[in-house]
Amino acid sequence: LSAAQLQALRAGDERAFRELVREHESLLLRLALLYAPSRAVAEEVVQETWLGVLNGIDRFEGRSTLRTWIFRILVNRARTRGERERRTVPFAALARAETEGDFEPVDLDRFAPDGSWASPPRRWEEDPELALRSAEAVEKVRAEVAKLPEMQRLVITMRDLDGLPSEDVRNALDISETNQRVLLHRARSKVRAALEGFFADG
Amino acid sequence: VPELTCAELVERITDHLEGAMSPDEVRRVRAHLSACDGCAAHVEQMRIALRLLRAHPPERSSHALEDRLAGVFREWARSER
Repeated sequence: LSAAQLQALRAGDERAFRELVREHESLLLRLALLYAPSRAVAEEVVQETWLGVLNGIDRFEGRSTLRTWIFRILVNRARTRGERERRTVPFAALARAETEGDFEPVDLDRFAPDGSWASPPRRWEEDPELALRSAEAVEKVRAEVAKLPEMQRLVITMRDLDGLPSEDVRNALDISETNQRVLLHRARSKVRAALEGFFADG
Repeated sequence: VPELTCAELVERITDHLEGAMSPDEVRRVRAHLSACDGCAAHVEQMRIALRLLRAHPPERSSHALEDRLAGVFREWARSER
């Protein structure tokens, strides 16, 4: 978002607002849908987010980018909704919990004791079914993403479904570069493993 | 420099794809991949997984939400700030 757009928005230019809304439409809905029990509730969260953005826009000082500020508002609203009594766990603590412990991107029994492949992966690229079954594969991926723990889901949704740069994801979630990468690695590895099962089952 | 095993390579694949490796590590990964069909296939699977993740169609707001947002904006623009 340029300084000119921000100024237009503050001056009450509806076209600037519509542009901003359109730019963030898909990701805000995706993030709201991670938490909301229904599409209607997700849309309410998006509406509340924009109201929060407008009400805070004159105080917005550009310490973060406008974009990461908008995501923070959305995610905070989505998380606290429905659990107003309970305190939500801070992202940093969640990220710590989700990056701790052992993780096997590939089952250890696929490797020989010397660390080489005992049961190497197949090349899907040569699989003539891949193209035919890609709509089904996309659904498989969607289902697998839905099963991921919260931080991994947030990171893979922002990075890979939406294509945001890692810096924006780090800033929006207030996590370190390393934690962002470990969360992404675990999330992508689980998706890949699920697809391996999917293609193997034929 | 110790050689990278296949089990180690799959642990580090995201570091590689994210450009978070030292030039030395990148050389070891490339050398390993050019000599190991299993790991090359693993990386190929990871890239296909990424392609399928990116293939998800964007979410679209309902017309009702668009209308409500326009209303929210107009009310905000009219209000004393």
